[in-house]
Amino acid sequence: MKAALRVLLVAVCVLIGVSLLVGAAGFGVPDWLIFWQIRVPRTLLAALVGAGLGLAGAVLQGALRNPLADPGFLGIGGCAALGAILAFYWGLAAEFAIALPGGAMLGAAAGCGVLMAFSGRALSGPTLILAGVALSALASAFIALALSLAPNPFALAEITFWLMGGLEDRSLLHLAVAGPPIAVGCALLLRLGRRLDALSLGEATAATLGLPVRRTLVLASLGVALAVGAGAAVAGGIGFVGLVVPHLLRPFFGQRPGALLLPSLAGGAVLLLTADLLARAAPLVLPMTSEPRLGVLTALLGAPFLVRIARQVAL
Amino acid sequence: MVSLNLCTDQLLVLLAPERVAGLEFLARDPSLSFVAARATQLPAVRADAEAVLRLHPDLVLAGKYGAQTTVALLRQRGVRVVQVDQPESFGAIETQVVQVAQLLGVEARGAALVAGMRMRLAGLPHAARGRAMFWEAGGWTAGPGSLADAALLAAGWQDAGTGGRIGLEGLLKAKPDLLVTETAPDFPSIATDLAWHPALRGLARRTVPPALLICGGPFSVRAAEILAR
Amino acid sequence: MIGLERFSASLGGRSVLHGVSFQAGPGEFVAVCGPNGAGKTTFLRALAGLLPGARRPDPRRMAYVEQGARCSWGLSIAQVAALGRIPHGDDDGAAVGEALEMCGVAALGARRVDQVSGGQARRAMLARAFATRPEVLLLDEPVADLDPAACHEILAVLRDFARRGGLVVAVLHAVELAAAYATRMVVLQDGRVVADDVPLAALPHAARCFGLELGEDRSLRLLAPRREGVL
Repeated sequence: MKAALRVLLVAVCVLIGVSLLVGAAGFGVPDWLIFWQIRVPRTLLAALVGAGLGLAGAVLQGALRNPLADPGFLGIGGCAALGAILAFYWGLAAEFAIALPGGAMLGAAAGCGVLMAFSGRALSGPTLILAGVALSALASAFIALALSLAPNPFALAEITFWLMGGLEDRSLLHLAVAGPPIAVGCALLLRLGRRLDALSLGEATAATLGLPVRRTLVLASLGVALAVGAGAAVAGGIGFVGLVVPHLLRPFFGQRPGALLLPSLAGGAVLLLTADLLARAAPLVLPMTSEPRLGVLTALLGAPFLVRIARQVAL
Repeated sequence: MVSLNLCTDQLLVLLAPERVAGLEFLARDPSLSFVAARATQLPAVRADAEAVLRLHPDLVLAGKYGAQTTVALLRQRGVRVVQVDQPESFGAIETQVVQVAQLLGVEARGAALVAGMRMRLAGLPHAARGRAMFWEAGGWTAGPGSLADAALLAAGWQDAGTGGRIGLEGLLKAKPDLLVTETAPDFPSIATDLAWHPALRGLARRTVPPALLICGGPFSVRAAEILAR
Repeated sequence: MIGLERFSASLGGRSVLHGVSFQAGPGEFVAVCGPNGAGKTTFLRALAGLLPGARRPDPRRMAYVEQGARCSWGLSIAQVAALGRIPHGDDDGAAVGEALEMCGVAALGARRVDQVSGGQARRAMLARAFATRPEVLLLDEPVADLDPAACHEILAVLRDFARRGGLVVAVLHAVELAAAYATRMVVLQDGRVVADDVPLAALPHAARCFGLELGEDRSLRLLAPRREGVL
């Protein structure tokens, strides 16, 4: 196994360990209830959601042949959040816990479908990104509308969670409901390496290499919908992880899409675990009454890279 | 008589329902208003200067905050607007009931409500019960000087909260003898769902309908009664 | 053996190929010529099985390089060539190395394909096709970015490939070069085959398509259009 990959995996383990020891109750080992019911689900979710986002970003970039592709940035995360909101505030998730990630996954799948349809028209890179940004704006607008129409009058106040993400107060139930779809989605996406390599020569050439292009895009959409959808259902809208992680890892693992999949999975976990750790530690060392939003932290980390990537693409 | 504030709405309904020309729409929501059922029988009005002026009220009741522009506009047109504070203790509730009853000219009814309140408070069993933590939606605790705190104290509990927000871990670390949360509403929200997090299952629990404490009124004594059970 | 049987295709409502029939077998180097918009690229795509209704050849036996082929990522030239092994599902280093040699980019294997010249990048794309060790090569403007020396080099490689039993069908803009290296020339105009013969015989038809004349000295130079009223 490449040394760089080993470093990433060790980093994941170390961050999980440190995460379990940091929380509002202070640094160090807390009592069993806090540890098991609060710290464990939160830490594992940060690792899983981050892994799903990182891998989804690498796959989207390979499938859309665009280094600016990211599930949050292109609106897939927003569509997922919308699906989750519809399931949650109208009581579906209260009856069937699986409805929460289910709604989110359907939303994410719809978003993927729209983007893949655009990519098939062989539009230029920037046009595809524009389509994604438009989708993202549309999703945000519908999220605000849905929340203001929700039966519970406090729903609209929760828009910051859905648009900017967060992992506070997640329970073992959230882990049980989101963990398996994310794992299945990641397993599906990891197997697309060779196919994404073929796609780097364009859809036509890839087809002549024997690649079932349509089926590959459908599988990629399915995997992204599972991984990103289930993640958005329990962690809200977190963007830029899928954008930044593959970009940061290319100098170490090469430009071949297939070579970036497993590293992006690990890298995504590292990034989100770090962001979540910062979010938790911030109120302990700074005069803040509540934790900073996870999506804000990842955006602060990711936006500068967006500028850098855009300049490289423009050259 | 028009009321532009949920709390004054409820006082108006309790003291002089026959003089009501308009109440806020919020007064009809049973999760927020104790007098919701009665309020649905009475006319409602939007907190909008035009709409209020059309009713030609002789008195408008409003809170200290909220609907500021409406209040200013009404005063400009010569309408009498009286703004009242949020009462944060049973004593303050009594004072306000008397004050508003005087304004409305129904002093006798006001006195009757106050007497009823005093009797119920006196009837609460007196026993030292330990530390209780009031945990409202969003993680807010009661803290000294708040109505929730007054209800806890009246029921014989010590208030373990400071008035600020605490998270789940903070709450568990405080290990209260009783956890008090709002009654679960009909439809979910993340903030209200938090009260039912699995980590809290081990704590003794009492739920209080939020309508009893959002506004301070004679009905708020019921909160103390629930907590004293 | 590959071919089309009275094949028609339309693009965006417009008819691009009208009932075209074509057959070719091992040992042939077929040049496809014609004016812009004649349907040459569509013809090649049909042979590659990319159009609805066209038969899909076996990806292990056929390699297709599209016009202006480029790689979306900065892979190394060796990595690009290695993509040609995907239909076989293996990493045959010998086949890849051979392909790089044939296209003259063996020394550039480690360089990134987006950091070399256009001509070298084009050779890398051709190396990818050769790495598959196909029986059939379908190439759309394979020498478009190459200087004259490189053009001759690559066309010679293709001619040898055909002589060894392979089949090459290449869209070539430079009719004179096509005539020099190909064993057969197909001339397309407005979606129809107007000539399908040995280059010498097909050349006059090609000239007519372009509205030009063929030099009488048989040097295969196309003369400028004859102006009316000039002796």
